[in-house]
Amino acid sequence: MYRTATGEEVFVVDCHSHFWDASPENQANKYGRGWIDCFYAYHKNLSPAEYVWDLTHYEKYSADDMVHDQFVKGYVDLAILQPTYLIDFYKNGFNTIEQNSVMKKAYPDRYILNGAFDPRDGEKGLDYLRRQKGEWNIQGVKLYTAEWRGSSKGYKLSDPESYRFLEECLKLGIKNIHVHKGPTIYPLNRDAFDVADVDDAASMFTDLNFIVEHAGLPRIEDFCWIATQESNVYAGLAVVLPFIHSRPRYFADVMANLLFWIGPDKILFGSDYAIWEPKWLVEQFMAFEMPEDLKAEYHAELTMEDKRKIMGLNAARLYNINPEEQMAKVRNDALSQQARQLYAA
Amino acid sequence: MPHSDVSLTEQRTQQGAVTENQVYTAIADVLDPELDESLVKLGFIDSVQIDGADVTIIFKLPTFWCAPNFAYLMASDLKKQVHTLPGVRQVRVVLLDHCADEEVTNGVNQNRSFAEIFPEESTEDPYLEDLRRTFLRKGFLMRQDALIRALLKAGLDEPQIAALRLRDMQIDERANQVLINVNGNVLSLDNVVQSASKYLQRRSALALSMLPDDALIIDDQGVPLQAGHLKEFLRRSRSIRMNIMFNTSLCKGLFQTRYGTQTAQTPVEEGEML
Repeated sequence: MYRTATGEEVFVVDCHSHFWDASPENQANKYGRGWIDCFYAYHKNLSPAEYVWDLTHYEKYSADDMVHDQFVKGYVDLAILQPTYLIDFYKNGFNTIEQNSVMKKAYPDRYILNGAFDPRDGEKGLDYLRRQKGEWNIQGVKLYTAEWRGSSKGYKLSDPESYRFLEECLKLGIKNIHVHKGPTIYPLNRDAFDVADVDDAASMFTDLNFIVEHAGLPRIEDFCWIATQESNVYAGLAVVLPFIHSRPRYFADVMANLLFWIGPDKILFGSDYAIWEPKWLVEQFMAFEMPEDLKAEYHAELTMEDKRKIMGLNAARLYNINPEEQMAKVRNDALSQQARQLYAA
Repeated sequence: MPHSDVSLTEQRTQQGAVTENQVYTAIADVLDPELDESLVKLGFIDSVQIDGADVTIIFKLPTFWCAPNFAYLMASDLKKQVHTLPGVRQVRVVLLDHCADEEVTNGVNQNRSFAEIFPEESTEDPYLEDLRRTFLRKGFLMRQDALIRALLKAGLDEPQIAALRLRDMQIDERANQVLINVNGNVLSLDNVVQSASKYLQRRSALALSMLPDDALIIDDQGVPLQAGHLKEFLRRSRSIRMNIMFNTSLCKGLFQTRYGTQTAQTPVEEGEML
């Protein structure tokens, strides 16, 4: 929970976090090395100096480190674990639901565990999706449409195979579809600039929510257009928000556009932990004021109420969380007590 | 007639040898298509090696995962530009530290299309010309955005902007001035020389009409701005500009983090953009 200068409580849901293992022992090939090096560059480039980790720690951190950074230091009340499989790059996967489930098991009131699917897996994949529902009762999935699989360099959300999986999600009550449409951490041209497949899928499956992670950053103008058209398309702020520190004007520009095109009810906070720590992101976002010229041009105030929605209320709505109940659940757990000690000192 | 080694060397020098400077000049306008910025300015050219009439250009990108289709466009443009230098015989381009470095390097040096290099990427655009055009168009709109905002700042209203013709704008790069003729009154615009000249370059590259009597402000299909539509026009161009600048900032930062080098600064342009 974040507390404003005037003592008001702000409910914080970190919609995007990972418990990964990129240690050299788990790297399967040069792609595994290249993947974590690239993540590390994002981390080092955009974090304030005092929040830059060393590479070894970044490759593999402990469960204790993670809950400390999110819930003790980082003001987070509830976090969503998003898996990233990468089984071609890492021997045991990079950050699978099985790996993430360790966190959920240890801190059941603090985490929401999301699953994943890949339509190229066919029947086997559908079975795996059902198994994830059965075992962990998942409410959401994280998809990487550009993930390499053998000779295939990706798929589209609008492919007939994808529709089969989305229909299954609908049937199973998995309502939140997080799609990585962000910087091209995966190579080839399919993902490089196209968010059109989200548009098609979102208009076909109006009872599912499509959360476009990183707001489609490399093609944010296309994304804004789609999100304006489709009422079930949301923007995840991971990667966008860290600019608030080093390039506040660019961040302001993007926020003004998002507020103008898609509005404050459809933007979700996420740290992308461990790429960035939530502490400084939350502090800087809560302190952020929209520059006057952008307020005037985009009618984008970014009021306290908007900030509350973005920080947690929007995610609570998508995941059927009652913020009051959630706060009551965690207010006196061990992590909250540590947080009070830390911030009282 | 028998000839000595000396005369061979001379012959080769006369016919072929190029200088590093000539190579850098030839590639000065090769763009990172997504960032609409020169590779040389971005610092992405690692080195140029010259062996008589043979030139090798080595380049590198901000991440291991930068999209290979863009890498392909950059590599093939570099090659093409160096070949425009008289006397150059063989040109090789080498991409470093990239997930598809061998594929792109070998493919471009063997003059293969993107579709031939990456056959599993089904594409109806084998040489990526549509992709290139998409980004030229975005670059065009980005510069136009800066230009229109400078016109508004100078006090022009919407009908006046819509009435401007190409001949009404004079760019004086040496004096760092853009002069606008509004019904016989000449106004000077601040800090927008680079955007204005790149606006014209992109407009020409897109094969949009460049006659003196054409409207100064046209959309990316060539349709002139109509008074009353400026706001929509600007919202679109602004989101494009914002996106390119955001990407550029991210990529420069990642490049710097990866290689510990500063990319060449372009303060004037950044200043005029913001």
